[in-house]
Amino acid sequence: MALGLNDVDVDGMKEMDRKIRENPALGKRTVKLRSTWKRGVKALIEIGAQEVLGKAATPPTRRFFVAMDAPAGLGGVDAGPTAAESLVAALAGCLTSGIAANAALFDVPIAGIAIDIEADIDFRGLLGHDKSVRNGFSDIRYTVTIQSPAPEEKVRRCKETIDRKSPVGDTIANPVNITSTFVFKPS
Amino acid sequence: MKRAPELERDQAPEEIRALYDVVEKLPGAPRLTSKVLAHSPPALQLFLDLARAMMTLTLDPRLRELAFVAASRLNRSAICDAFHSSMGRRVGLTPAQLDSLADHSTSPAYGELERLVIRYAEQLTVAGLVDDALHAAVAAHLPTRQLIELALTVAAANFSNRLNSALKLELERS
Repeated sequence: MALGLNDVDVDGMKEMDRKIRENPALGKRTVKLRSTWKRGVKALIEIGAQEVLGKAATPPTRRFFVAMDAPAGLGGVDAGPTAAESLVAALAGCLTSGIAANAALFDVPIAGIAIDIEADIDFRGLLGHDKSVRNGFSDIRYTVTIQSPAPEEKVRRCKETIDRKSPVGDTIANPVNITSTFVFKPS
Repeated sequence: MKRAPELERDQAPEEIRALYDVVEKLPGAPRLTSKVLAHSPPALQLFLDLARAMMTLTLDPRLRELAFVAASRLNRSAICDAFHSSMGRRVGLTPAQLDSLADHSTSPAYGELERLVIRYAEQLTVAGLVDDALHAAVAAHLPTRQLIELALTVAAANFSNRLNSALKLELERS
C-alpha cells in the first residue's frame, strides 16, 4: 500500500468513496463494541468488526481494547480515563484524523496538528442535587493549532471542513436514537 | 513480511554461533525470533536467557501459559498466541480454557485463581498497572516468589508481543 501526502492512504479513501457512490447501500455501516466489567468501576471495551449489509466489512482479527476507570471520589482507582473523558478524547481524535484526511485530500502538506480541548461538566446533575443541571457536558471548547508550509487559507479550510463534518462532533451535538435491552442471568 | 531476515549459524556474528546449539533445538516461533534477533548478539542472548528463565519458574505452568496467552491475545500477537496456546495445551490447559479468555469472569472453565491470573494479565497489559485490590487478591493465593514470576510472565509476554510486532515476525502458514 503506497501512502499519499502526509502518510494518509488517499487512494484507499478515494476507493471507498467510489464504491459507495456506485452502491449507496454500502455507505450504511454498523460498528460493534463490547464492554465488560473488570471489578471496581473499571470497564474494558473491545472494539471489533464493522458491518456493512449485515456482513463483516473488516478482517475478523480486527480487535482493539480501550480501558476505562474513574478517579477517587467516583469509585475507581484511576487505572484509566473516565468514560466521559473518553468521549471528549473521541472528539479530539475525530478532529485530528479528520483534519489530516482533509489536508491530504486538499493537497495541503502538514508539519503538525495539536488540538487542545476543554469540556465542562457539573457533577450536581449526575449526583441528583439539582434537577435543572444536566448530567453530561454542557460546553466543549477546542483550539486547533496546525503547522504547515501551505497558505493559511488552505490550512484553515482543512479545520473548518471538519468543524462541520466530524462524525463524533455531530453525534455529540445532535440528537441520536439510543435504545437498550436488559438480559438477566441468575448466578 | 518480516523486517529483517533470519540468520543461519554460518551467517550469524561469530561470537554467538555457539548459541545456535540452543537456537536450533527451539520450537518454531522462538526459533524464528532468535534467528532474526541474531543480527544483534546482546538481543539474542537476552531473548534466550528470558526463554530459559521462563521455563524454570515455580509458577504453575498452566497459570504461566494462561497469563501469556491472555496478554498476547489483547496485543493481537498471533504468533505468541499460537505458540503459547500450544504450550498451554501441552501443560494441561483445556480447549475451553484457551477459548474463553474474553469471558473469563463468567466462564465455568476457570477456577478462582485462574480468573485472577487472567485479570492480572489483562489489567497489566491494557492499563499498564495492577490495582491494589487485584494485587491483594492474587497475593492471597500466591507466595511472593510466584507473584513476581506472574509479573515477569505478563511483562515477558508484552515484551515478546511487541518485539515480534515491531519486526513483523509471523509464523509461516502451513
